[in-house]
Amino acid sequence: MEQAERLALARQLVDALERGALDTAEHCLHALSEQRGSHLLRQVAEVTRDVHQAFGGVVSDQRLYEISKHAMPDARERLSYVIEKSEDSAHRTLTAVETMLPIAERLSTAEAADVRAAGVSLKAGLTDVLMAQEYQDLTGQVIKKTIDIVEQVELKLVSLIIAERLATGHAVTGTKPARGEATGPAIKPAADVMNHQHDVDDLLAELGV
Amino acid sequence: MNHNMKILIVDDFSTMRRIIKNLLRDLGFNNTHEADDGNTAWPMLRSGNFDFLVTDWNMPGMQGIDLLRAVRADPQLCNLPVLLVTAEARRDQIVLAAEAGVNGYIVKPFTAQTLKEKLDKIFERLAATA
Repeated sequence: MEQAERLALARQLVDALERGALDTAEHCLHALSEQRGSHLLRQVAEVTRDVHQAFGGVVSDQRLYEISKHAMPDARERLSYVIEKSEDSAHRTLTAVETMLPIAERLSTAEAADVRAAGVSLKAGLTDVLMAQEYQDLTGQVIKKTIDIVEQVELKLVSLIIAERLATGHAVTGTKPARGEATGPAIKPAADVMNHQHDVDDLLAELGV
Repeated sequence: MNHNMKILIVDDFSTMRRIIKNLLRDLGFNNTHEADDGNTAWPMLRSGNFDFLVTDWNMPGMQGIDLLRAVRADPQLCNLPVLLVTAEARRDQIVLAAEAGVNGYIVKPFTAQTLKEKLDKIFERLAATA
C-alpha cells in the first residue's frame, strides 16, 4: 500500500517534470518527503515502544526490587562500618602516638649523645605514624561519597519501580558538579586535578597567593 | 611568629583535627581549638579572638569555602589569615579559593614539612605587608 503510493507519486513527479508542470512536481515532492517523514516517526515510535517494554521488563524484575529494597541499604551499612572501624583504629593509634611523643621529646634533649639521637629518630618515626593516620580522612571521604551514590541510585531505582508500577514513564536526569562544588579526594589523575602540592603552589603563585 | 597565637582547626574528621593539632604542637603552637564544620566554627570565630584559621573544604553543614567567604565579608574578621587543608584538588577549586582570599592551600595527603613551609610563608607575607 505504502510502496504503491510512493511509486504512484514518483511516476507523477517524473511526468510533471517532463511536462514542465513545476507546481505539480513541487506538490509530488512534498507528498513524498512527508510520507518519508511519517515513516521515520513511525520507526521512532516503534523503537521507543521496544525500549520501554525492555526497560519495563527490567524494572519489574523482582530481583531489582530486592536489590533496591535490601542489598543497597545493606551495602551502605557495610561502608559505614568501614568508616567507623577505621576511625576507631586511627584514634587508638593517635592516642598511642600522643603518649609516646613527649617521651621521645625528652629523650631527644637528653645529655648522652646516643640517647639524644635515638630520641630524635623516635620522634621522626612517631610523626610518620601520626601523618599516616591521614588515610582515615581520605578513605572516609571516598566511602562517604560512595554511600551517597549508592543512596541516590537506590532512590532512583525505587522511584523507577514505582513509576513502572503506575505504568508511567520516568525520566532520569543527570547533573554535572557546579563550579567549585566539593567532590572529595581525587581517586585517579585527571587533567583539571592538581596531583602534587607543587602544582597547587604554582597555580596559587600565578593567582598571586 | 607569635607561638601563643590562638588557632582554630576546622575539619569534620576528628582524626584529621587531631593530626593537625599534633603537628602544630610540634611546631610550637599550643593554643589550638577545634570545630567540626563551618557552622560550629563561625560563632567561635566571632567571639573568640582567633589569630589563625586552618580549615577543611568538604564538610557537612557549612563548607570551608563558605566559611572563608564569611570571614572575608565580616568587618571584624576580614584580616584573619586562613589556610585551607583539603583533599579538593581541582584547578577551579583552587582558583575559587584564591578569589575568595585564601592565604594558603594545602592538598591532602600532605606532610608535616608542607604544613611548616606554608605557615612560614603565610606569616612572612603578613609581616611584610604589616
